[in-house]
Amino acid sequence: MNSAGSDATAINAADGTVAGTIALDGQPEFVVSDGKGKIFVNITDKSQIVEVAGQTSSSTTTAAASATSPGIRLANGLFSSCEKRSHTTPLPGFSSLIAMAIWHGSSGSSPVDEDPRGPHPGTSGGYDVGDISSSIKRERI
Amino acid sequence: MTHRSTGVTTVFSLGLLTVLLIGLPWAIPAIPGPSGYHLLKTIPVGGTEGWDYVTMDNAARRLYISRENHIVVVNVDSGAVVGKITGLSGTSGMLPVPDLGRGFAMSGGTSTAAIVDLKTVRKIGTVKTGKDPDSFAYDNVTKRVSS
Repeated sequence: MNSAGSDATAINAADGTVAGTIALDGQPEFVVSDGKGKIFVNITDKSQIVEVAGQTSSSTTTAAASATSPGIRLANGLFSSCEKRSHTTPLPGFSSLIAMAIWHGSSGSSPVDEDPRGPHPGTSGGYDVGDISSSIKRERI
Repeated sequence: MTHRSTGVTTVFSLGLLTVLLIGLPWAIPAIPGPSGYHLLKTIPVGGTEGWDYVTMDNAARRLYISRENHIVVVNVDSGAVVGKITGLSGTSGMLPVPDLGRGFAMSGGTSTAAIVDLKTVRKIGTVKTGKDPDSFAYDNVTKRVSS
């Protein structure tokens, strides 16, 4: 993710050529691949997770509105560490994928990307299942 | 039609059940137990440069550690430094792609990625990226590196 360029570069690993550039609306911080042709990028200054898919075309879905999110992980679900409160919500259009944005309360301590069951001890943060911002955009790589 | 309606009802009921099952633990804040992780050994790497991403090639037992202007390659079993990829500027880390025998070492200051031969641990090429490449991922289906 090109943090100063608000975009991402797709490189063909076999020959090192650039396959294309993906414009991102904001500053990308971290990226994970699902190993099935999709990547998920957290846009740290927009409180969004963007999904990018496809060889020739891509659709992006933004989800999990939150505070700044320093990192994401993809395991059995998508885990996003953020700085404020947490919520769990399905990514729009992906019933099998659960987005769990987990972040601390007002303590400002480092985020956790685990323990989706309750607030982290010592913080005032809680869980907020609502407060989801979603939109679907269509882009081309 | 009747059958279809039943199907929809079933799905909705399962959805509701899922919400209830998932929702239940959230009402009771839980304190996580011990993770079971513990320190096995410490590998001294040295140097004064800062660190960024650390990546691992599991099969090769190699750890790639970003150190500002170079990547240190460490064998995790012996603890020995087995290589160094130099000539980078503000590197965030290296993405190993063992299937292709290549690695992609980000060079934020030059907005490039160095292509590295994983066997020789030497640069074999360079590819231009966007401005200040930072995080990275490899997708096995598209065979693409996203940087």
